[in-house]
Amino acid sequence: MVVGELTEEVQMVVIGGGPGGYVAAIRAAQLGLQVLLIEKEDIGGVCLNRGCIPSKALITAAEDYAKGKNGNVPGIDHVVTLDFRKVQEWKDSVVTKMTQGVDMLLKGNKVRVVKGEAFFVGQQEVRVMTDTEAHNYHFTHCIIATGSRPVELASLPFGKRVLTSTEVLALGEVPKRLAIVGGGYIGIELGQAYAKFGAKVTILEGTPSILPAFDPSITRLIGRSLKEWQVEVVTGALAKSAVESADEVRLTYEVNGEVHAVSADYVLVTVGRRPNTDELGLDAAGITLDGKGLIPVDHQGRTSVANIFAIGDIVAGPALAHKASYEGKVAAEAAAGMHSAVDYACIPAVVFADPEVAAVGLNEDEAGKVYEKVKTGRFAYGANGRAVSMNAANGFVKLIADEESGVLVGAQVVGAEASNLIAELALAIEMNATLEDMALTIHAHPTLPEMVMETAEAALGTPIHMLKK
Amino acid sequence: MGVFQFAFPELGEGIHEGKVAKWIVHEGDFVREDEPLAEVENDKAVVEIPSPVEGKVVQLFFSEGAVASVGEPFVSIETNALTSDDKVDVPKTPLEDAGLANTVHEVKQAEAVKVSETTPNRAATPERVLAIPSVRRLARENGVAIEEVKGTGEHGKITREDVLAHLANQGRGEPAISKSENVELPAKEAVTKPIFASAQEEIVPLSSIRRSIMQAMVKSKFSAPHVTMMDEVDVTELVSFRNEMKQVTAARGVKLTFLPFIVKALIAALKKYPYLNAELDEENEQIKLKKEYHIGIATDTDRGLLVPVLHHANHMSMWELAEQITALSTKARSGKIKLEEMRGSTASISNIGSAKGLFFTPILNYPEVAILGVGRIRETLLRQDGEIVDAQMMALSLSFDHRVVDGAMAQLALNEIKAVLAEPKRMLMEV
Repeated sequence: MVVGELTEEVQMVVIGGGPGGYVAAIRAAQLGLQVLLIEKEDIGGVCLNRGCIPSKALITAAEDYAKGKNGNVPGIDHVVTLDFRKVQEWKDSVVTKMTQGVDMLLKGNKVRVVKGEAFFVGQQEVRVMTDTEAHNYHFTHCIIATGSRPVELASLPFGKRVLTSTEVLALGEVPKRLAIVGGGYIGIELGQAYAKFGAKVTILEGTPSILPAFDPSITRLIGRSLKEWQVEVVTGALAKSAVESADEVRLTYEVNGEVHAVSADYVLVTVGRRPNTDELGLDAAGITLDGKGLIPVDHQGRTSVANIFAIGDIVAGPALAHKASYEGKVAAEAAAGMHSAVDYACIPAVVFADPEVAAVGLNEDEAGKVYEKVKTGRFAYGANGRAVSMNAANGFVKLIADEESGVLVGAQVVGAEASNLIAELALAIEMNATLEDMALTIHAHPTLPEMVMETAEAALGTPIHMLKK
Repeated sequence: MGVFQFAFPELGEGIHEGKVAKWIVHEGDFVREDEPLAEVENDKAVVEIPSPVEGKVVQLFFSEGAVASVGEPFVSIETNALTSDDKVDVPKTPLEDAGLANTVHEVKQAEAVKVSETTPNRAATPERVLAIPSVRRLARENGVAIEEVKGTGEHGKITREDVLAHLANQGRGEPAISKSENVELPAKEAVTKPIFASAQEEIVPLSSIRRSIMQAMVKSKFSAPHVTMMDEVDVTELVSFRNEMKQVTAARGVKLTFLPFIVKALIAALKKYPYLNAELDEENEQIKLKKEYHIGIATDTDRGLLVPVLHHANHMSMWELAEQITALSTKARSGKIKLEEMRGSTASISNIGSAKGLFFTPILNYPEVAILGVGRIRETLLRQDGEIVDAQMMALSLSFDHRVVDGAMAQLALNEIKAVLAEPKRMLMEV
């Protein structure tokens, strides 16, 4: 079929329909711009289709299964069976529900969605290629939100049994043995989930500790939990090669110069993500990447080309969906002429491990470098009524404040529902709340957030449910 | 290579933003110190912004037509430049500054697995001033750098009131406060292109000059109750005198219009009736009578109404008046007029005659007390001492602030203006 090239005029083109791109598209449409969203695969991006949402569904299912099998509360015995295919069907239905929701929102905001791959052909024009045709769009503003993809190791090329998190999330059955290269948050989350489903999991981490970005007091708790689920963790391990055979894969690795090997049904390689900036024809737009493949942007997400913005995993900062969404809104507002800027005090980070881990703002060491004196408070889940009555007494809340002003500058939570508890602490930091403010705010009893109030009081030296040392 | 971030500078007292009318340099250009970077239009004029350093222009942060506020990054210039390295250095985000985890980049082949997946983590910038997100937004929307606001809250926390007070100190008008209930349309000055366009209407954002005219007119019309006296004067003699003088002035290269005569006549009346060359100080309940005569001349330009001022017009000869009027109006029309040249008038003249208008009700150039509107001169027949004679009649409309001056005095002043214009010889007495 011969198709002529057409060029259509649009005010705003958003490239990429993930949590950065679709949010930017909706905000731009709310501000009166006529918006075209280009997505090459699925609306919702990695987050909705192959990341955050499906992994959380699987983690919840694994947790349910484990609790059922092992009995969360003494006295209740279950006979639990697992139909993993049905679990996967349910997980897929969760994804479908969420992506349909986004589709509906885009439609409701009159955002036009086009399927295809976008390439720049100039500072104001992209070409969108589909299987059958090419169509050009001339734009006034553009937001690039193409996200990132898993890094592939030269020594462990992806294959039938060497997989990315995408395939591991979609396995048709629970593997008997799963080896994971990379002890970051994806490795820990999926490793624990499959361990709960019954897999024998081995995690290889290159640095001396799993979750290297978190404090040792946090990683110790996770390490203990991994041991309980018989997950073998090898730190300081360098994966050397993976040899696939008909029914298994043999992974060799080196620790302190000694070579070891482990056999598994599958190897999950999760050693980081790289920005999707290499196949966009950015040269044609006059945009230069930095040494890391990221797009340099200003405080509004504007690239060196004034009408083109970039947000999310392809710009500096942590590769997190909520950061991408925030930046997407800023960029859309800036394009519409508002004076918005990327101006946050903190970004919360969550690991859906067992127990959950969440952190926001500075840790104690970082705070020590910024403020003359730092005040901290720590409160154990074991002293909280709700935590104990949930049979979830494992964990702690830690607050870090500037001693002079008492203003909260960082917080860490490990334990049940840490992912939800961190929200209050992020708000407290943005609102410049002091330890006193948090201690004087009535928290409902009996709930986990009571611990926030208690931790603040602990930092102030007057905790009620804790004896002073 | 150092990249100098040039923040949008203060253009003058009380001027906090400007519209980028034209970029004189482009990205990649080499610019010397003090060479112009851009023409920027503010409330009153178009000014050139000189480069503070020498180097290569790396990035222009605004497109033409966009409004820049003081302190916003304006241009980045690579100093000690002239390398062929074209790398664009963009301001770091707070995250980068804090050295936080990034998207991981490709792992070197030989290294095997050393890199663990970077775990996402915290972000905070050292020495971040205390201010909550909504206050930060308020500051941004009003072009205020939050770091420059003095915080009165606990531990120097910057409150909403602090930002508003900072704005008030800067002498700015009403701050733009966005409603949090729903998303607002982009701030009016910031839109560079009409966003909604349909066949039925075209939406044109206000230029800064238009906005300033709007504010000045509202202020005047709603603060000073003014009344307009209308009258005609026989300027037959003046017309023939000016025709005689035309050749003399042309020989000197000066264009002689009626305006210098009208300025002279107005000053004569103002001297006789000083309450028309005055300012009402409501707060202290007093009237300031001005002893100098700075006459504003309302001038129509492509960009809108501007009022250049003939400072100390009472000391000027007719030659000087003619020359100054021509010089100022040329500057105003080409956008090269300076702010000082548009400030300090004590009374004004608005000429609608050049557009063939007759009578009108000029709006005071607040806080002045009087403005003289001049209409066209028309030939007519006049009954004079029982005879019908040819006459050239000029239309005059004098608006005055009725809080300061009453009708009778205004008419007497107008009579004085008429008397001088009717009998140009009297101008000799007024020199």
